[in-house]
Amino acid sequence: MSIALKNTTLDECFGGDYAWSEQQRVACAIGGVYTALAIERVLPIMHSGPGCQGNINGVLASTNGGQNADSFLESVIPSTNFCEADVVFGGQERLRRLVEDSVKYYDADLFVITDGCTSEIVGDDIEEIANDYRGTDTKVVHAALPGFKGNNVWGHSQILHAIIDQYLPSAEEAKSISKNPKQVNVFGVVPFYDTFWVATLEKLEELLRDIGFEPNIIYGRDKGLAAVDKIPAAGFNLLLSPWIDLDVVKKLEEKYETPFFHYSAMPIGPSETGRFIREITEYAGTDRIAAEAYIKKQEDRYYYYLNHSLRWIYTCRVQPREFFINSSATQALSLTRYLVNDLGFIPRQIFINEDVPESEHERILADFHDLDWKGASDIEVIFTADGGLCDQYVKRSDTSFRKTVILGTTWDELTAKTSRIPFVPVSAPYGDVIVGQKTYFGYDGGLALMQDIFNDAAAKGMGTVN
Amino acid sequence: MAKKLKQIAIYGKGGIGKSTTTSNLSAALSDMGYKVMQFGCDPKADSTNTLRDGTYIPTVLDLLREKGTVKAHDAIFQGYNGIYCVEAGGPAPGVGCAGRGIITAVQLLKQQNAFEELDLDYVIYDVLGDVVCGGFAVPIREGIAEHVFTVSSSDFMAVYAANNLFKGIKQYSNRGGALLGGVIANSISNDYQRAIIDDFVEKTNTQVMQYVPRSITVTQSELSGKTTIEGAPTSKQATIYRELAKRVDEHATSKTPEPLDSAQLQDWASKWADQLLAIESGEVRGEAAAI
Repeated sequence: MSIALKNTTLDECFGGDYAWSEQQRVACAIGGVYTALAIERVLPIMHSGPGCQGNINGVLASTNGGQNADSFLESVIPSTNFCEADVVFGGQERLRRLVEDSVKYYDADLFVITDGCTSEIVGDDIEEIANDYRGTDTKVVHAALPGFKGNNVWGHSQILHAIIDQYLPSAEEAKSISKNPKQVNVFGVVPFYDTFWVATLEKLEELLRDIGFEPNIIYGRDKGLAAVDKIPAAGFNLLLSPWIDLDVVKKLEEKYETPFFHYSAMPIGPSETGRFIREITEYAGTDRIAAEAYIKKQEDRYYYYLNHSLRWIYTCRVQPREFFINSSATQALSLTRYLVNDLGFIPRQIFINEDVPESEHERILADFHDLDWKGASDIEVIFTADGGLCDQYVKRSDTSFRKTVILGTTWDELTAKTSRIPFVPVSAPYGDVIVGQKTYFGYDGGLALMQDIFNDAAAKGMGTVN
Repeated sequence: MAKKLKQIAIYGKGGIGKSTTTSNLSAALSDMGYKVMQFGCDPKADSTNTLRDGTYIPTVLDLLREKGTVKAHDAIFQGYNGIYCVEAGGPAPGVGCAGRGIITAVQLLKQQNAFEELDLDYVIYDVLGDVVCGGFAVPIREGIAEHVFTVSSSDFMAVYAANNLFKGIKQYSNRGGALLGGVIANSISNDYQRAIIDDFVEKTNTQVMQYVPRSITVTQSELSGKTTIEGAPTSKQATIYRELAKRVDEHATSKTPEPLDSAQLQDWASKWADQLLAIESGEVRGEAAAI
């Protein structure tokens, strides 16, 4: 477990008195298979133990907004169910037969052989099996996903690197592909782990189209390998996260000479969405006047809805104006910018729990300081792999008058109930509910988040929700 | 009162004569009237060959692979003088995990109380001695063997492997693991070889259990698929193995060794290299230098 602190320390937070309480907010590296499953008609073939898929399914899918994979349900994913005999004798030959049979019986466009801890420890060579299909019409790539190397975010990265390195054309082959200056590949979203990924990407696609781009998104409905195949043709890659997929867009820059535009947050609400549109327009040199017209139209609509409920908001018995966040770096940053810049809330403590590499901390902290708020440089961020720290911090904090809202996972809902303060789920595990088309992205997303915060605050104030 | 089962692990670098020594020890203890099991913990699965006229037996892991489960008694075969022979077995070279194979095989027999049911006096584990991973340390962990003996020649690589083993023993020593009984010095045919081993055991806080010279009798017996005890019972070499068995039988208290660290081992080796060079070039050292 790595705890890295920037402008605050655990001792400062907890007075030297804290116990670790691990609550699962990420899955092991095998969670990366959900990135494969998010690309239509891509089938993972798992060389891992019985239960490995079930374990990642809980936190990333079923209790994360009632999600499941679409093209291939989790229950039909081929697996060697790596057991003791495979540990002792090696399971490579069983995997070879499983891949042969999978290729025969499944109608998939791409097969991704993945492994796990045990098969990696005993040295089974999944690359050698994937190579059996090199030069054939059957597309097979491989990605090692040992849990001891990282969590599902790391696993997500391994899947993307496998596709870029093994499936996409080489730099030499791609030279004949003509670039489409308007085409923008979108990266930075970890499908499934980001509970709102489906709707967020749909809305982002709409927005990019509305301001004159041709977005190319590989995950979700009606995308699949057709979208993956278009990756080398993009005019530029768009990265919407502080650190996730930064390695991916850098690799694409190196391989296909595709530059990337890095915007650290997924925009929520008018300030961020407007800023994002202005910056990407400037970066790409597209029509600024059209972009400003789009921003004005969307902002008018946003403020209409806000004004439409303003009296109710001001008369709400519980007036949240501070917040705790316990979430991923992308989500925490996106939420913070909206809550501070648009709603005028003050951050109390932010916990970033996806075990961000230490080399990225400084940059992420700088992103948090980039706020329209004079106290921004004092904002407190804890980078941790222990999602349970937030619970202890909140319970030791003054949360009287219910002025503080918690934005986190379904685990944090328990903390909010105990402290009787407003709560909004924003990340995995989101809860045992259907997330559907919900997203906090963009102008409508800002309104949706504002509504969720005040609705829960009002319900707790009236005593209708414990 | 139930008799106490004595469990011994014999380690040593591959090819050092470990299985030969173990099989002769088993045969000699059996001749002394004890009920003995020899448990080969090497993926090569040839530890017990000379107890069974040079034949191989199905290994625990072979049976596991074929049937999915193993009844302990299906993996136990009798050899010379009724000695129970078991081979853990393992994967083909280059695949799987031999260490896990040993863990699996040892646990399988232990869980089924095979040792108690056979009313054994001795279980002797013959283990590949480089202790490259936790699996090869299983026999020295808590609840398996109590005493470890290591077979070593005076060659540096054998001593190096023995020293590594000592590190493993020390690692587990405060957690109820096996302790070191001593070194069985193998292929010791002259004084300087004896002196090297004597010096090593002194430095590492242990003892020599027996000096076993290189002998053609052993080779002759092995080529006819037998131990020296069985094939040449009246030979001088058989007497040496019987003496070893007697000492092992009398041995009661093992100790935690003090392995040399890398720098110490290197210094120790350099010192001996100098001495051997001096012997070769006829330089006279020590007391004789004054003559």
